Amino acid sequence: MTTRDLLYRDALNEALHEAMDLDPTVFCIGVGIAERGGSYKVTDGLLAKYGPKRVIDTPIAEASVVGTGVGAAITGMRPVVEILFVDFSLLVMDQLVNQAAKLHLMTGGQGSVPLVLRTQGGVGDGVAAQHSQSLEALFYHIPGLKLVMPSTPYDAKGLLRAAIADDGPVIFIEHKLLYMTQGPVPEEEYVVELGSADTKRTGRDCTLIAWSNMIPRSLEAAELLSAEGLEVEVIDPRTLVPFDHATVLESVRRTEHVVIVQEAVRRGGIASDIASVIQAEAFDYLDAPIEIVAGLDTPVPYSRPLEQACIPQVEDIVAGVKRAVYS
Amino acid sequence: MTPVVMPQVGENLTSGVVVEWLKNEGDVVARREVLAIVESEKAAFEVIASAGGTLLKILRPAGQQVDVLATIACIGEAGEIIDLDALAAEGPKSGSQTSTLDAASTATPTTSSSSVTSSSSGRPTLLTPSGRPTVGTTETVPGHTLRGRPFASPSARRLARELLVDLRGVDGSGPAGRVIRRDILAAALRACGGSPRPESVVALPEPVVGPGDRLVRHTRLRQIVASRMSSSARLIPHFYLVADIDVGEARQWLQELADDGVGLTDIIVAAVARALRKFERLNAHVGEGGIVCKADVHIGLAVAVEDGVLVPALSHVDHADLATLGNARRQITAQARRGIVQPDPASTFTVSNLGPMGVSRFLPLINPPECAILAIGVAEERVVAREGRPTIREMLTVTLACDHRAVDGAYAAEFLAHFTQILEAAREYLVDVETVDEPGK
Repeated sequence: MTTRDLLYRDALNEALHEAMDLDPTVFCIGVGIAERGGSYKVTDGLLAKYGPKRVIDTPIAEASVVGTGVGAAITGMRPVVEILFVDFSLLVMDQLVNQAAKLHLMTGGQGSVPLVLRTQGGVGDGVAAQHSQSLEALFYHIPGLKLVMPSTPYDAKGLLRAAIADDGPVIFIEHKLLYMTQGPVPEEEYVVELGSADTKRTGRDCTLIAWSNMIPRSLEAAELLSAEGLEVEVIDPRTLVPFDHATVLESVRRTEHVVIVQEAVRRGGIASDIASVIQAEAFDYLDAPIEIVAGLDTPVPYSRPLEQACIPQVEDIVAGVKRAVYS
Repeated sequence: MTPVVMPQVGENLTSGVVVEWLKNEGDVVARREVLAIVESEKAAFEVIASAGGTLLKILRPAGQQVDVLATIACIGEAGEIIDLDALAAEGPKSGSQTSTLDAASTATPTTSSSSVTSSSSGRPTLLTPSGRPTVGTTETVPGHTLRGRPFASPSARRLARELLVDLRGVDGSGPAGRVIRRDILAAALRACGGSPRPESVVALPEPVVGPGDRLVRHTRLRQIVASRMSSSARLIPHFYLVADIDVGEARQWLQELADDGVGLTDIIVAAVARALRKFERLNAHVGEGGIVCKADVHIGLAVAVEDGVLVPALSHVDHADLATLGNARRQITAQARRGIVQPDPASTFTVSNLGPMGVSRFLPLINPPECAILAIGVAEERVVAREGRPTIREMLTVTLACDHRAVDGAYAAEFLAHFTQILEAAREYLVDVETVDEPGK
């Protein structure tokens, strides 16, 4: 398989091109995605190729945009709706939670909502509390929604193809600091199945679970720890719903030490839920308390030093692993 | 009042489970009568009444896990009041949680035996079969909760079980002295004379149950066999010696002994015991800092039971005549098939006989903490050379597995040669049980 290095945003852009080529029911809709090509250039070039009926600019009216997407999906279209910041998705919760997530069940399986909500989250470089949140736990909490958070260009492209092909609503959260990261992507088309974790690094001493932008940071930490003789296994679940418990538990039973890293605030986060599954399923294999390295329970400050202090940094992850392995 | 306690049936055992009460509260029991079946990590065994009387109170119903030496029931005179302080004094360790009983605090009995009522003091009272009340519930009986719970991680606990490490003897290197995986591994490796090398023990991958596959969960016995045999294979450096033995004469002698119910197994076991008298290092328990050469010869017999194997012991085999041995063997194997193994005495050497199942020879795993095990193959007619001519003799093949930490090849070979000599001339050696070394003496 021949590969080339692509930016995360270009890998996503390729996935959209391929999906729209393949299936005429796929269309994109959102604020500034057509003429402007999206704030992060993920929808660049789509308007010229597929025209204004399939690549639609909207006013700043998130609830209406998502409502349009949900309605179109019910009729059999495959909309890819963009909400520029995950922070703004709070405006569309009723459309997602009460309509999209429930329709399949409430129609006895007759209806479905094959919608993808593309958005991005996490801290950037000082974009303040209303543009820096990691809100994945809100969606994780809702039965009926799938939740995808890719960390590499390869995963981003393969998972977006899978999300568009999926017959239910999928929340696809990108990370604003990952758009300009680069990685190998095959020339050929491919799909990354939802619910399959990826072991980004193997190791015998500790299992580290992270996703999205915490993956590159955790890999950096693992590299530093390796120099000290500690081999950390880094697992990226890639999709938080469905969650690949088997891969995580197999690793935990081998290493017996666990660190979970999440950018989101500590309280009520997905890390806590993953920890609860691990302690229930692999209790006899735990040699230490499960260590959670997470964001502080506070709105993210605008000040750069304070912003950094709120979010797990490489040295925080290194310290977390050391606590977990009694080093 | 006499307390009935959970017996201590092995050096490392800390608790047992009450499987079944054979007597009910209020039953009259005789001294030496069997009261209950309890189960340790090794096997099921009987709890015997140490005094006659009435079974006043069952404190630990069937199904409960109980620390060894903790009180599980009381025997006394019908109507006797159970004194919990006295009970505490009898228990393994007395502690803070005691209750006193004085006549003034007991309520007037109003209900039938063994039902719970409320006394005026608000404390629940229990009625013994005669109808007189005593204070206390199983929760307030001291001695159960007082034993220090080892402070250890779940992984350390699991490993300690698998590697037969006594958690209470391990110093914890984790925060606040928590015993963690590396401490157990170090202890286990010290036990076999090695240095800590944590990566040497890794978990095997769990099997996947696919559609149509059937998952058979381990029974308790299966788990015990699995853990003991894993430890044996993992920690004991086994070596094996094989010998072919002519049992023609033994067979002839057997025909004369047939009325006494003696079988070839009995002659083999007797020959083993006789040979062990001269080779004390093989009649031993192997430990961390040395081996314990046991004073008596108690031969364990591997007995196949449903989904597992039990090893009941024949005691003082070196001083038993063949007829007694045969009777004892039939008794313990029958008991073992019902799941019951007497905990005492602990076997000092094990014999495993797959000959009746047609196996010609096999490599056994040592039954820890013993030093060696002898595997017996099928006795069959074979063509052998005798004085330059082929002849047909009844032969069997034995395989001796030894712990190389404790003995070496030459010593084991001498034992095997001596055993062969005894078995091939069984009548001369074994006809008189008190014969020491040489035939005719």
